[in-house]
This record gives sequence, structure tokens and C-alpha cells, in this order.
Amino acid sequence: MVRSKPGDARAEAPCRLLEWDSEHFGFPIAEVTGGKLDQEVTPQIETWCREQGVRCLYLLADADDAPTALLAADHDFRVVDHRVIARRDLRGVKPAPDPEGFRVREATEADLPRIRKIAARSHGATRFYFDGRFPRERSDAMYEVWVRNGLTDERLQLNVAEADGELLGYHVIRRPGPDRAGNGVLLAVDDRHRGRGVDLGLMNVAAGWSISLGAESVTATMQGRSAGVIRMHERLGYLTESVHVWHHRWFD
Amino acid sequence: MAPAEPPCELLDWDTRNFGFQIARVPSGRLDGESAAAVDRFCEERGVRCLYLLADDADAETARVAAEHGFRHVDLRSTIRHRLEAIPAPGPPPGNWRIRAGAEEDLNALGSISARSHRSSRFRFDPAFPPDRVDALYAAWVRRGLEDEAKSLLVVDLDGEPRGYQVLRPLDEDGTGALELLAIDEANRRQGVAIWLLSEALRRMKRAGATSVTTVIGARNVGSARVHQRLGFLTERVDSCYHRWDRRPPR
Repeated sequence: MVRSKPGDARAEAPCRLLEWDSEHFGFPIAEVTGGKLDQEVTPQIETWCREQGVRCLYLLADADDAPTALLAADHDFRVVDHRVIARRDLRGVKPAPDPEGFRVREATEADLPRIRKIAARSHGATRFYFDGRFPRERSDAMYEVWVRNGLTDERLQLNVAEADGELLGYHVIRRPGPDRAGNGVLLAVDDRHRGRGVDLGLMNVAAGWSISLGAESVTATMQGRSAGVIRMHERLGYLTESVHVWHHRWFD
Repeated sequence: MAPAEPPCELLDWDTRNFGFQIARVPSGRLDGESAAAVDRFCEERGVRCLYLLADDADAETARVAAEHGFRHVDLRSTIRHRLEAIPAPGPPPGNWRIRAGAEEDLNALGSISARSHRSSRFRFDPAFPPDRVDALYAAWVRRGLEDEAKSLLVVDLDGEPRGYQVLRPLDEDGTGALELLAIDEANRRQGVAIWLLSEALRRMKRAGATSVTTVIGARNVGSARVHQRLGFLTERVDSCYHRWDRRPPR
């Protein structure tokens, strides 16, 4: 990898600024390109971040990468989450029967206020909350944006589970791409309605939708600490595919 | 007034194996006050490495641990099989057999264990001497044979040991537990592990187990997949931390 050196215009910067995150949280945020640290690049990262006024730096490293983990700890990065990607083989999977006690339908703009309320209470296990230094209302707002993308982005679909006019949960899913793999982006169930199979119903509907669009598999990205979410995916036949570690480093 | 619980517990076996003082934080939690007590304990007792196993959702412990020099070294999932339906994959092609381990297997199993468990926290943390980590796993396998309460299953090909599974005795509530599982690297991805594991589950069910638990590290994706295929479900997730009394050797 080519790294930035004084006077070398072609050199690749060791980090890149994340415009969306920076604007959303209101301070400069960057990520380490390549997801690796070594003795050479780590001081360059330090310099780059100070020059750019970065306040928070993300590093997503392979969980097997011991040298990066060691250097990260030595340079004040903190482990804030594990990203688990799992995949379900949909070949031969028959559509599940309609869920009992609620129905799943495509969301509309009118659902957004109720979806926002669920979103603000549902993603507390993620790194933005666990870190403790991101403003809570901005983290809430981030998940609201993600959900809204489910309505406005053509590659996504936003489904909701509903019973007796009450919204029980939502699921943002990505259409299968050329790799014939769908993707579960974001799922949440109102805490008052957990334990009645709403999550399972949403996922079964998503699997049927993905199959109808030609998907042969579907992936899910989960927080390593979310035992309940992982368990639900395991029940459906998801198998772990990769594990990465999220680190955050703050510059004060 | 009852005496206060000590903040740490010395680990005799680990200390003897590695040749330096090792302890753990038994509560699995840290705050500013308890961390100071932990620091004092370690200084007074000459603890060189301190283990902490904490609920991965415990943000306060994670924060205090980082401030007090702990390093995150693994994410540990406790998984459980309810034994309601145990898939029965057959053996791979060839003259494979699963049997109880014997004394004469130990050399071969020690050699397999030295090449296995690559993703464990002891191998991930470079401050542990590799030869003593090998010795730890060899001793663990040996205990499966010598400890009367435990059992050791061996999978062999043409009479040569190619893998093992250590089984712990049932708890009072009928929960069984699986400890170390390893397959020789030359025989991986042939269905040996899932065959051995399913046989271990059947034997535990016959012995009266109502469920079986085991622990896997997040880095061990291959092991996670084998267990998931058999129907194990994640029950809880904990973070493992190590803290050294000085910077570990590189």
C-alpha cells in the first residue's frame, strides 16, 4: 500500500474523512483506510488526524489481526463493538406461512413518526451508544435517517409489522444485487411487543421477498454483543461468515 | 460484619503453568472504586497478568478497563444445544472411528493441540510464551482422560488419532458442557468435526443431559459454523480482557 509521504502527491492518505458522519454528529470523523495498523502507518495516522482536526477515528479491523489489535490498544483506540456478518442459504427455502397475530406490509411515509419512536429505543447495543461519547440524540437521529432511507432509496425496502393499527416493528432490507444476495440492513421491534415472533415474521417476509427477486442467499450484519439478535438468526439457519472489530479513537 | 470479598482471585494452575503470577477479577465488573482495589491487590501480590471476563454489553466496565490498562483479547459466546433434535451426519469416507481416549493417544493429541486453538486468547495475546500455551492445551486434553468426572472422545482414522472432544460431567440441573474440540489440520473441512460433535451430543443425551453448553471465541468462525449447523444457539456474549503489569514483550 502506498502511504502518504511529504511531497508525494500520489500517496494514499492513511485515513479518510467521513463527510456524512462528520456532518451528522457535528464534528470531524474519519476512518483508517485498509483497516490495519503497523509501526509505519500508525504515526502517520496520528499526524493526519491532528492536521485534519479529526475528533473521532474509526478502525474496523479483522478480528484475527493481533498486531493491529495490539497497536490499537497502545494508541488509545478502544474496542467498541464486534461486527458479525452471517449468511442464510435461501436455495430450496420455501416461503414461510403468513405470521399469526400481525401482518407485514410495505411502509409508507405516514408510518415514519411511529417508526422513529421505535428506532430511538431500539439500537442501544450499537457502537455509537456503547462508546458513550456520541451525543445520544444524534445517535437516535442517525437510525431515523437509516430507516427513512428504506423509503427513499430504490435499492432498499422498508417493511413494517402491524396489528390492530399499532406498529410493532420495522425491517429495512436491501434488494439482491448481481451476487444474488439480499441483505437485512436494520430491524427493530417495539420493546412492548418483543417475544411474540415479530422479528421472525419480518425476517421470513424479507426472505420471501428476496427469493422472489432472485436471491440465493441473504446476509445480516449484527452487533457481536446482541445475543438475542444472533440467536434469532441462528434459528433461521444463518451461519457466521466473518467477524471484525470496531475500534474508536478520540482526539481531545 | 462479613469480611469484604477480595477484588481478585489468584489462579494457581495458570500461575504454575506460565511461571508467573496470574489472577482474575471474579465479579466480572469494574468501576472506579473496584478498579483501584484491583490495582492495589495486583501490586501487593505481584500479579503479572490479570484476566477479566465481563458482559460485553457492560459499557462502564469496558470504559474503566480501558482506563486501567486492560486489553480486549477475545469475545466469548456461550452457546447451548437443547438436545431436542440432534442432526446425525455420518462419518467421512474412510476407516474413521469415534472412541474413548486412552493414555497412548496423549502424545498424538498433544501434537494436534499444539497446532490447534490458534484463535484462542492465549495465542492472540503475544505476551504468553507459545510453548507454555501449547502445554496448557496438552494438559487440558490430559485432564479429559485423567479426571474421572470428565471424558475424552477421540476420533481416529485407521487407528491414528485425528481429533478430540473433552466432555465435562453434567451439572445438577442436567446441563452438560463441552470443552476443547480440535481436528488435525490435515483432516479439516471433511465433516469430521460435525460428526464428532454430534456424537458427543448423543452421548450426553444418553447420559441424561437436558441441554449442552459450550464456549467459542468470536475469531473461531469455523467452529461457530459447525456448532450453528448442529443447532446450537447463542445464549450470552462476554468480553475477555488481559492486563499485564508492564508492556508485554514483543
